[in-house]
Amino acid sequence: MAIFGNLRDMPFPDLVGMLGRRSGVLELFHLPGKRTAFQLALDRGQVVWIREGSHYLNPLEARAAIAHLFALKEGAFEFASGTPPPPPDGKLLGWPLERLLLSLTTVVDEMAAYAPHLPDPHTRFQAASLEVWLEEPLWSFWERAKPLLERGASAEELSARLGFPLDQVRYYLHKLRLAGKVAPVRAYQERQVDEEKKGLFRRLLASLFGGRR
Amino acid sequence: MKPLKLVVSGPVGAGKTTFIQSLSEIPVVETDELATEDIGKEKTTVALDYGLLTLDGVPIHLFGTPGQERFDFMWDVLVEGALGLVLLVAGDQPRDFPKARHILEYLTSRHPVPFVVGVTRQDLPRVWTPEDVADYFGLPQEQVVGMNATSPTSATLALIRMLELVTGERWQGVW
Repeated sequence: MAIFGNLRDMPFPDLVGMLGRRSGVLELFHLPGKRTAFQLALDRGQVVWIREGSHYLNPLEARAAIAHLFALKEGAFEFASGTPPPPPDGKLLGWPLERLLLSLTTVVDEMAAYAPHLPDPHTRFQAASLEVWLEEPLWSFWERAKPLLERGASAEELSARLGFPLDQVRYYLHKLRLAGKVAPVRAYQERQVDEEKKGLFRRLLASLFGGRR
Repeated sequence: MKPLKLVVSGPVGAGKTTFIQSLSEIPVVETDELATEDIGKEKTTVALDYGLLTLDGVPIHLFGTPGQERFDFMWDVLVEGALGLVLLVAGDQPRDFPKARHILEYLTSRHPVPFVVGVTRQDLPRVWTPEDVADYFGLPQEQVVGMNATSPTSATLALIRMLELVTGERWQGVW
């Protein structure tokens, strides 16, 4: 008996909830905007590893992939039962599926609640503090994004460079901002004001005061 | 010398057109159209407002951005190369603060433009103070000024504050 279908009819959270404690590999393919397929190895209620194409995802990439799949409304799936093969060294996730679904539901709810407050994809942020303590998955995001945030980067740029969905990057930036770890760049402060411009501004000021100081 | 321009931005109803009218020495060119959504007033700016101020023989072109988000493609066009930015927000409309912060951060993180935030409607009894708005925006208090957009003096003081921030010099007897 095969388990197959389309996310259009059976959304991803329902699907993995249904798979519950089964063991096997869930393949998701023909996904909108993706040439590659995802494979999720499940073993008695745990996500063992996730692969995109031939690439085994690290925890942060895997979380981004799950969040992406969580929101998809289109895409084929097929589940092959059996004990999944072990991943290469360092790629074992071992995440309890139930807890992952709950935390993702929270993230999705939070993202929906924060939506009007998320930064513009083009607004640039920079690290406001390099000594930070954060919980997962924010910590992993911070670790990956820090080199870019030290010099200033927008959500769009981070998304492209790190390969994470744009909305998730905006969400992480918003959370980091709330935690005081990043702040918007003030491009004006990055540049030295030249003396010529200062002179002009003094002249304008003097004019506003009618020469009085 | 390149033409100098000062850009006035902010959410719908912050007082951008009024601010430019207060400073301009020519009748302000407006591009008002009937609002197509409920924004609390009948007409709104759809492209830009334009006024002109001359200081010591130097013309300063005053541009007001449209407040509605659907016209946000105009923001970059107007702010590019500007002398300064005045971002206005109505102090009695805290629901507009997130939008105002969004605009400010978008513009000032991308364009090296000096700026001040003007908190309008300070003549009303129930209104946020500039100090509290500075905390919300995460800005130093000297970068946020209280004002009444209809008052030419108030608009001039906002302009002075912005120029002071660039020169790093406080002009005596004003504040």
